[in-house]
Amino acid sequence: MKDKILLLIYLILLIFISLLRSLDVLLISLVVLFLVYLILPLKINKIKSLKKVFFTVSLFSGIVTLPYFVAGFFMGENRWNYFFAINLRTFELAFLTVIFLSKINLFKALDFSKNLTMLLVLVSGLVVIYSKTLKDFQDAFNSRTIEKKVQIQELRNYIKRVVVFFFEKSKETSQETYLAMKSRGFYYDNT
Amino acid sequence: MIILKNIYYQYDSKVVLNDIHLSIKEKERIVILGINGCGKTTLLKILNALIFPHKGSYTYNDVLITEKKIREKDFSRRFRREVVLLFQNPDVMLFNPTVYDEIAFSLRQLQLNENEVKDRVLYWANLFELTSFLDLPPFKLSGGQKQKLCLACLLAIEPKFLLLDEPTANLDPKTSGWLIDLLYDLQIATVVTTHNISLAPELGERLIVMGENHRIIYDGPTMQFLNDKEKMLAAGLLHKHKHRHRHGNVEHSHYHFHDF
Repeated sequence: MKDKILLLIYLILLIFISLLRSLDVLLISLVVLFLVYLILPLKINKIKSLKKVFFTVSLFSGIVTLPYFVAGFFMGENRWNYFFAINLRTFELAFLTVIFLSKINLFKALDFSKNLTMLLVLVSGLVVIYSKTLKDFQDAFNSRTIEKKVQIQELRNYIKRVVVFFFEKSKETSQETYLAMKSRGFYYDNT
Repeated sequence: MIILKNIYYQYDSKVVLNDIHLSIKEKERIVILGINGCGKTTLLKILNALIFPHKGSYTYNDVLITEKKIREKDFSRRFRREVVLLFQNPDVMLFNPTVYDEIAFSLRQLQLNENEVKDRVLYWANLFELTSFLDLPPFKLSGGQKQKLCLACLLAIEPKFLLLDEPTANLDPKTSGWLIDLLYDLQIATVVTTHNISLAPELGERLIVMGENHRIIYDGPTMQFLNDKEKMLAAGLLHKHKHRHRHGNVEHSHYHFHDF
């Protein structure tokens, strides 16, 4: 029950923060969230998570908010307010998610639906396996690269192979998972 | 020579290597034995300078290996050429459009001329029975052939230390036999991880056993350890189970050992 309540609080806060408009309120709530993040005993590496939050927000900012801001600059519009508000909100949402995800057992929180839980378990399992495989791909590439500078063509081949590998692997895994679930009686097979 | 002193490594809050001391001489044949999750792969990745210990020191030919050191172009070039790692899953090592390009990948980085690259590729392809697949994409090969290709790629650059992570895990008995013979004939240091006890004496004379506590619990002659059932039980490498069988009409059971 605890996990379900926490999930509900998380969703309410998510909506609440998304509706905030005032820069002052956004700034104050970000400071509060940051303090909560530092004080709360979370079962995560806080520095590593902090880096991830910064990276995610920077990526979002670089792709979405910054181009919009720069475009406004050339059009003679002042979009500072928008720029700060969106980035502060993104920071807050990212912090909130990190805090709650480390406190909530999602499997328990979503166990009101058997299908949803099963889907979550399947997806989480695949995420863990695929992230490990992706890390191995990176390590293997680093290990086999004698020169620090690789040629563009080699890098292109590598990226192409990784994409194709995961595409094929996902296809294979989904077919196998479907058969395994069928074998365990998950579907009513009328064919 | 490789020297590890007091190596400690952890993933998040889980310790995977604890107080590891290890030295590896050139041309030494070492087997690292341990159950799944004891830290064998992590140890190989540290030896290949892909990850770095949280405590302790790793020296390679008297050079302290650190993240900063491995970023040095000249050192990195020498290190990556001399210490190579065969990953457990060969798929992650193969990313070139053809088998030929795959073997040529590292050779081209050595800035050899294309004729020399070709000669070497053909030599290793022939040795590993891959000549007829040279124009094929590597992912079309079978598991055993992929493993052979990965080894060809690594050996083509003539390393001094070959690290192999569970190399027989995806191989059939025939290809495993081929691999054992190949490793036996190599004149370089080999460090092979496995959890297969019956393969250990075939893969090296010196055995390192990693325990469930993520420490080295044995370092010595392979056969000496394999003859000590109590030590193998303590390492989780042997287990006892009830064995039932019949003598005529009488069925009885007793405990016996297995390494599977």
